[in-house]
Amino acid sequence: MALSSFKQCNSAMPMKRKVKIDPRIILEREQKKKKKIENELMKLERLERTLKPVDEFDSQRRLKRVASERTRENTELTREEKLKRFHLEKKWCVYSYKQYKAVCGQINQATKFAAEALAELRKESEELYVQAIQEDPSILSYSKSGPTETPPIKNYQFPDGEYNEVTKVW
Amino acid sequence: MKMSSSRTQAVLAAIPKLIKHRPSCLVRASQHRNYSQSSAAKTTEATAEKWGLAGALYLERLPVITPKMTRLEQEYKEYKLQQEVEQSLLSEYEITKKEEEERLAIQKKNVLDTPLHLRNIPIQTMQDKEELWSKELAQFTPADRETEADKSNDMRSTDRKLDQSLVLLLKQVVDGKEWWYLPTMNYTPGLSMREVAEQALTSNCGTDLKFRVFGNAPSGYQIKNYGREKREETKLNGHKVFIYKAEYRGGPVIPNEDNSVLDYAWVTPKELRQYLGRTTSRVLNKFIIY
Repeated sequence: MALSSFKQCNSAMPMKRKVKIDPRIILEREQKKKKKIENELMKLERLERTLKPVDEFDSQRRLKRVASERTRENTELTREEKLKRFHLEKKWCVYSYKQYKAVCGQINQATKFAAEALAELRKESEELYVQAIQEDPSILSYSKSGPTETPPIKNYQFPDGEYNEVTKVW
Repeated sequence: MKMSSSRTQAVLAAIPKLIKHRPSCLVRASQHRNYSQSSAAKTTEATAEKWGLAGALYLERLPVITPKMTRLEQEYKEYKLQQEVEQSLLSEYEITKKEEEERLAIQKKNVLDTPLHLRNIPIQTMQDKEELWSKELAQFTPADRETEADKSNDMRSTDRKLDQSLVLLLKQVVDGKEWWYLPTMNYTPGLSMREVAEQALTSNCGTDLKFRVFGNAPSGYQIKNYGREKREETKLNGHKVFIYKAEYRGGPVIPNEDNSVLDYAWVTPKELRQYLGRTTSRVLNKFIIY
């Protein structure tokens, strides 16, 4: 009996039983793989957007040109031009010194006058004097930006800066 | 600066510590704080003269634009800019521009050698970029340095003489006479001198004015002696006005007619002499820094 059954057997190795997988589960698996790849892509994109820390920056290769390559071709100054510059420097030296002296003088005069005023106030009333010599801490928070070349334009419309439109279009 | 008058010398002698006026030093008014109570008693008993007290505010609209350059300054500036360029190395922009020009010159020479599809490709050269930038700049026109108020000589506007500082002067009626002076108010007991000066401005010119006083100490003072009649009337020798310096921050000046303020004007320090007498303008010149 065993011989006859053996002759009928045609297959080689014992085969795995074919398991019928639910098509839904197959879909899920594929989706999971897709998601995984997408997530990795997003991570890479995010890394691209984050800026490098400043310490890691290296100067531009283009800017590494040697100083000798960057020398300017200057024409030699004429004798007149040199003399003119020399005299200009001299005049400027005198002018700026006079300016400095004048400003110093004004400041000195102002401080002396203020001290005089305090002394006069003291003569009048000790109480007022004491109030006048109190410290005013609000002076420390004072700030001022200097005068400009031209005055500010009245009702000036500030132009929009450069911007990327990120509004969603439905 | 030598203080020649004996009066000021006497005043300065009352200050025990020498205040050295070096160019960049500030007034060390805090040195006064080291006075002991005993020395204070001496000063109050001496004065047989009686003075009324008043506070005034020197309200200054600081310059908005830079002063015009003198010829020497202009020449020196141009010379220095030229020198800076001559002594500098070529920048990256200049090098790329040079290379581009050379490349374009070679391209022009070898037009026939370049294949058709590479000829006349519209590249934005540095020249084009520079033209674009200069066009963009030309679209912006800055405001005029000389304003309408300058041309019409409107003394009430703060837009006049933007390169200089302006002081507020009020025209008041005092003892039947009209005269120009800084906003002043007589001292009322219970206030500090600084508060008196601040109120001098707000009561005479309205509360919409924005300003900032620097410190509690006065910047200067003026002594006004009374004539014989007034001296007999008020039993005072005169009055002392303590002047506080303030920065004008904005807001309109509304003269208070109840306080007999008739008019106001924003005046440059050089024009002060036209409005004020000789002594007053001399006093104010002491603490004006041009």
